[in-house]
Amino acid sequence: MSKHINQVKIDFPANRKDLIEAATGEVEPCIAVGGLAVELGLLRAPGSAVLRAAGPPHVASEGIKILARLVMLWRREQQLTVEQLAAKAGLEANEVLSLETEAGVAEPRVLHALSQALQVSYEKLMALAGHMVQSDARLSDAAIRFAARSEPMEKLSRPEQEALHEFVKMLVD
Amino acid sequence: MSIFRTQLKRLATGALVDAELHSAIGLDELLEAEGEWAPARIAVLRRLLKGHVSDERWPQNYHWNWALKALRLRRLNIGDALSPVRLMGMRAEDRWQGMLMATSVGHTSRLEPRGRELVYVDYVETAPWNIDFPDITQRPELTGVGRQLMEAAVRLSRAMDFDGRIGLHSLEQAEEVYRHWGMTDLDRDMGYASLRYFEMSEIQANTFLREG
Repeated sequence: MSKHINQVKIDFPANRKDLIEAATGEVEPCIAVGGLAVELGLLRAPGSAVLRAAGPPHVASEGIKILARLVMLWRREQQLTVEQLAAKAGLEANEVLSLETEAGVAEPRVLHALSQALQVSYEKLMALAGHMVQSDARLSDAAIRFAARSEPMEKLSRPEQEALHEFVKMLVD
Repeated sequence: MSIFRTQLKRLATGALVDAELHSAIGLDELLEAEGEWAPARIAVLRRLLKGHVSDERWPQNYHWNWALKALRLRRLNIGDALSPVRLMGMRAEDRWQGMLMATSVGHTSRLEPRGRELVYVDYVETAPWNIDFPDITQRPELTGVGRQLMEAAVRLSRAMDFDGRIGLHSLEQAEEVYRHWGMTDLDRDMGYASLRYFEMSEIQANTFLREG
């Protein structure tokens, strides 16, 4: 299992002298990077109208749909209720429900818990949710294939039919 | 998390000043730094305006909307054990002197062999009073902040078993620093606002850490 960036201890040299001498030996000009600014849409390429963000709205929402479908289908394949999946993952039921119904973007904490329960990559779930940029084209391709192939096709089960008819009746009355 | 006791140099006198490198901090500390830095940035901007310094010589990050940054970092649960980003900061004389944010998610090495994990530096900034602004005759108060923060990122990469590999997209004004530190310039990245992408390999990291 890969290490988590916030849980590793950074080892600094016991002898600080060399580090301090190297650092203070010259006047460094401005150091700055643009990664976060680009992801926030604060930077624009010269002459370009295209902004890059970690989650452009249409891309992020597609990922959220795919995430919702993934969790729901996995849960149903395991024959778990929402409550049972939530208990297995150490989450609240409404957190799983919110994700499955695309009610919002799941927090990293929720995604990490689900990655453990589903035994999939936390980083890839983060990318689907739009929290992080994912440069792996294979994830995008796989997500598109999954979305295209997992549209519901089967007949409704008897309980589903009854639930549907009851709900429609309420909407009609 | 841990605090590494180190020193910075006061440029005016050459004296060393005690400092602390905080290896994991959160949104509160970032906002505290913003509270200290924002007025100083405005003071610099005033002098740039008064000195009729052309805008391409202004610090390229001074017009960014930092409220957006704070919102994004809140969404990433910065400071939480499961956050995908880690924020580190240098403190001296009761003020934040610089900060750096890194992630291990979403970026892999572009140097051969490609595709290996690395630590990506999303954000780094030194306090406005520590920047060399010849156009307005401002010299840094304290030096050594940037290099020590970058060294922390390289050591973080080692702690993650990434052999010291780091990557970043440089703002134009900082490109020479990264070349000077031995990073490889991998040319403009059209997917990142045409910023130049720099990467430090394992061997370059050993040299940077004075071990090679």
